[in-house]
Amino acid sequence: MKTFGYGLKQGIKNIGQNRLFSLAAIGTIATCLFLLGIFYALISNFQNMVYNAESTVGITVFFDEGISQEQIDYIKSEVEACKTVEKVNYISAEEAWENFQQEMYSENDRIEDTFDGENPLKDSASLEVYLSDVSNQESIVNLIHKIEGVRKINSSNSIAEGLTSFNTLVTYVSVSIIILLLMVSVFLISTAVATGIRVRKDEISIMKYIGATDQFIKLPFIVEGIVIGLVGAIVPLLLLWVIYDKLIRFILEHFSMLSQWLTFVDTVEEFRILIPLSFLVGIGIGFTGSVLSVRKHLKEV
Amino acid sequence: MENKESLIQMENLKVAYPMGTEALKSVSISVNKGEFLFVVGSSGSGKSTLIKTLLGEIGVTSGQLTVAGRKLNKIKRKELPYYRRMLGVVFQDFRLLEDRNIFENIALSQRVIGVSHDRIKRNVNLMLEMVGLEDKRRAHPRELSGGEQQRVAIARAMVNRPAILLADEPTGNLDPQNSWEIMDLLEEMNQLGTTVLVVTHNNEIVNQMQKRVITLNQGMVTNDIPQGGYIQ
Repeated sequence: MKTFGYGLKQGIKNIGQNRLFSLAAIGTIATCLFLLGIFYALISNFQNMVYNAESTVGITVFFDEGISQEQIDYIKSEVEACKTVEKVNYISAEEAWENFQQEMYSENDRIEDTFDGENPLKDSASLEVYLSDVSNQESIVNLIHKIEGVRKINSSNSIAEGLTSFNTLVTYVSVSIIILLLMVSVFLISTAVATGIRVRKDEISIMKYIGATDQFIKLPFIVEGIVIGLVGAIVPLLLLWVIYDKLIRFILEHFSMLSQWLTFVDTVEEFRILIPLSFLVGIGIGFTGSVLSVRKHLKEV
Repeated sequence: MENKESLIQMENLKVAYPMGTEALKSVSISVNKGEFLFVVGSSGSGKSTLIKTLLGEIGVTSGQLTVAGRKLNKIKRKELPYYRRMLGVVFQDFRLLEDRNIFENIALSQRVIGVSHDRIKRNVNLMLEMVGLEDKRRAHPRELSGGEQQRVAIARAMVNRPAILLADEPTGNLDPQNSWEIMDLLEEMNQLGTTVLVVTHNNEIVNQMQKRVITLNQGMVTNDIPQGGYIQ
């Protein structure tokens, strides 16, 4: 405990004494976490938009002529049981005819009388099926086709495939960039700590001569790395919060006509994950960087 | 057979550097508990290698080296810090931490072994008194003279009450008056029971102190006089 207290105190003191190295290391982590935050915001917002777009891509299931309500209920329950089916809406023939009229004609221009009160869409009752993941659309369509009483299924494979592949591409590219950034961060922080160790080479060798264990020598450097990582995380988080919040407000105010497509993740919701993620990555980089360089350089001193 | 009083035992000790240079060739020395001895010799004779080997900084190539019953041939890396706590070491260039005051420089030895805050204060103050620097506890190394800095280094080496004090050219950077003050201090530590091994070039000191003198030449012991002067 005494050793831990000493390590903590000395680690914090080291940061002050090596202001230049500490600032360089904090700057490195902050830059990486700032970029990480931007990519994370891009991915999460894009996925949010894709999710919203996916929820509008539905499958419409039509039934055989003269099918009974029991059979329709049975088909509905079978469809609902399929994996990745998120929502199933039943549209009766009456609702279909009502929707059609609303879409095609004005209130004063109803055409019910033209058909003597008959519903011309009496065989157009349907199920609207929405999936949680449109990449499964084709297999779900094949499954529904096998259910008895299903006459026809309308779906748009090209939209589903397009959204899925674009989403995958964006995720792969972003994850690759993030991994690259993390690797660069670990390298830079370990270089910064290694420089700090070289500067304090004499101190380390004196400590070794007076019987300090490796643990005792390492502790201040590890504390230093963790604190640098922590500060390096706070700075970009504050910046990102302000920028993200203002940018979303600006876009929504000035591009309101695109609001149907541009569905952003709320600032608080976005940072609910980004804050712990940044702290975890910042501390992780600081810790890993210092452990790697301390381990390597302790053997040299 | 190891002598009962023997603290350091070297038998046919051979130490070679990784490039193959043999710095010590078949050295056999026995140092008893409470002894004060000088190790002398010209540059490259193996004096510094002897100190480094005793500190566990360089490994034993062959032969035996036993310090306080611990065989250094077989010592593991993680055991070294605990072994070194039996030793105090003083260098020619003092090696004090410039960013810490005198109190903290001495206290570091105690912090390393986990001594409590109150005991550190008591022990460091006692050492400061012993080396005559009680009024300089808040000063930084650069504010002290060479002699004072070496006294701080001795206090740091002695505060944990080690069994052996190794001094590598402790007067090398000091004027004659300060050199004698340092030697008096080392003798005082010896009288308190610590075994003191001093590596030096200073023949005047060696001749006047009349202690045991071991002469090294090209990695071999050429003289071992129980009480005498400097022989090159």
